[in-house]
Amino acid sequence: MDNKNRNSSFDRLQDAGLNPDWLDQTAEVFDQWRQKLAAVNDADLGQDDLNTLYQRFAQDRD
Amino acid sequence: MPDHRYQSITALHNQAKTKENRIQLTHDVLDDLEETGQDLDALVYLDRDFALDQAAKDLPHGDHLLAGVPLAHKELYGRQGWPDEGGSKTHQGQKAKETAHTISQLDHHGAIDCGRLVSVEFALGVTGHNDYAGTPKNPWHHDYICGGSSSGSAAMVAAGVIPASLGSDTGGSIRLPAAACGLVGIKPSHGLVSRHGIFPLSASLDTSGPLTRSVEDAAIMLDAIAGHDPRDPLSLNTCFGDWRQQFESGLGGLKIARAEDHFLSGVDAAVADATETVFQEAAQLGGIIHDITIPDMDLANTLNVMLIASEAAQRHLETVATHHREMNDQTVMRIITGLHAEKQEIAKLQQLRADMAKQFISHVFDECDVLITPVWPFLLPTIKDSDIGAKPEAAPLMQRIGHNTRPFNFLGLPVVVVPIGLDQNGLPLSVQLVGKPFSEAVLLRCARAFEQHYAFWDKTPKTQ
Repeated sequence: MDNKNRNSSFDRLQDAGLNPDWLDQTAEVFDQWRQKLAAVNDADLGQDDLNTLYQRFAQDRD
Repeated sequence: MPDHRYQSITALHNQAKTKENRIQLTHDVLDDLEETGQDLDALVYLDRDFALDQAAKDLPHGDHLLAGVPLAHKELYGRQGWPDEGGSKTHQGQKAKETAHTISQLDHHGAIDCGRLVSVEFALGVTGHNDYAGTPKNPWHHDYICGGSSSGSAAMVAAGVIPASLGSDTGGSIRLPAAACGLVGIKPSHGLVSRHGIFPLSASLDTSGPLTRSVEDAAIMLDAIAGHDPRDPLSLNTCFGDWRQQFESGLGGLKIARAEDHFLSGVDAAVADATETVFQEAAQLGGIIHDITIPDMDLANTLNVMLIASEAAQRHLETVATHHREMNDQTVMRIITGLHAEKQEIAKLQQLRADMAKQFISHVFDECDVLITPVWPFLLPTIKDSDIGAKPEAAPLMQRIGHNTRPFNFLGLPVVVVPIGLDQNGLPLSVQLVGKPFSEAVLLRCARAFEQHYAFWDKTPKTQ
């Protein structure tokens, strides 16, 4: 989701009484994952999605 | 012991040929589901009237082996009017608005649907703990977990009450319970089995498949549920023949991959040693072992967790906002972690799935037919020791549970779990067989060879 929607979601959760520490803790966890994703060079990405790839395998069987 | 216990689908089908026998069998299984289901904390819902009505109907034309066979499934599988709580108090009293495609397929083939079995809350957990719906006990030893999230399905099939049950797998939720309970489990290829009508966790990663006691029963179930469904946007149209076509061909000539990196180096010695004996015995049975290295599996593992959390957050944000006090803390934390994802990150994850799958398939399956790895990275823990809620220090260890299963959800590949023996605590040990897209028939052939070699079908849990 985009940043605006994300921030409004966090605000909403805090307004609903969710422990604010949980948002910080989960942000830290997600940042660790994010670093791994960011380490993959965007220029190396192909154009297919998984469904397109599997569709080709499915057609090869027909 | 009741007559229906530990019977195959074919044996039950033969018992259920006449209406009178079918109704009696259904009565017996319903009674057993109620009694054993409560004993194992695995039962969510029984519908006696519905099941007995199904049993009283004439068998459909075609005489499918599932005709007349009583089953029960993970509670995420919708049937119109039945409870649809997703294993969560937040959905208490909610009823399914429609029937899952796979359930309709089983109806079409004449299977009898008796009820629903416990899932982890929103299928978001791999130990099987659920404070609301129940934490199923492992029939092999009641102190131990069944694994999750298809915990109730695994418990009732392993106890021999029903021969098969549908589960769902987003990061290992069919394979981990199947392995923990000594069952065969299939996580099918991406797109092979419709997810329509199944309570969702992750729109792009969820898969549907069976847990059974035998490889033949797994093939019979897959035959009934596989196929194109336009109501699932990821369902693919492919032709497939009889999954049992190569059944008795054994391992002779099959090229079997062994990957030390990630899959064997990341597990405890007892598990690695047991898996090593599988390679030795596979070679004696005619398999040709190839040692390979596979890059990026740690990355695939992390990216799968990231995508599950991101899609679960999109799906369940509203529930967390309005009902988080009724949810398990772990479920809330896992969902809100995904809220930190940005739109472009989710798009990148989807592109990476295809790229990594393409590379993996070429790297492994240009040379080999099957990759064999352990399922659980360590021996099965007890319910008490793996309860993160009561024992937060257990969390890092429990997060390792999906180490070997999650990469294959990310890559969309088919996987079959097959038991190979018992560990030092008398609990099942298993391996998973991984193949290229839509190679389920090869995996079932391989699983069948191991099933015959290890004769696990003859082993049943001692009644406790």
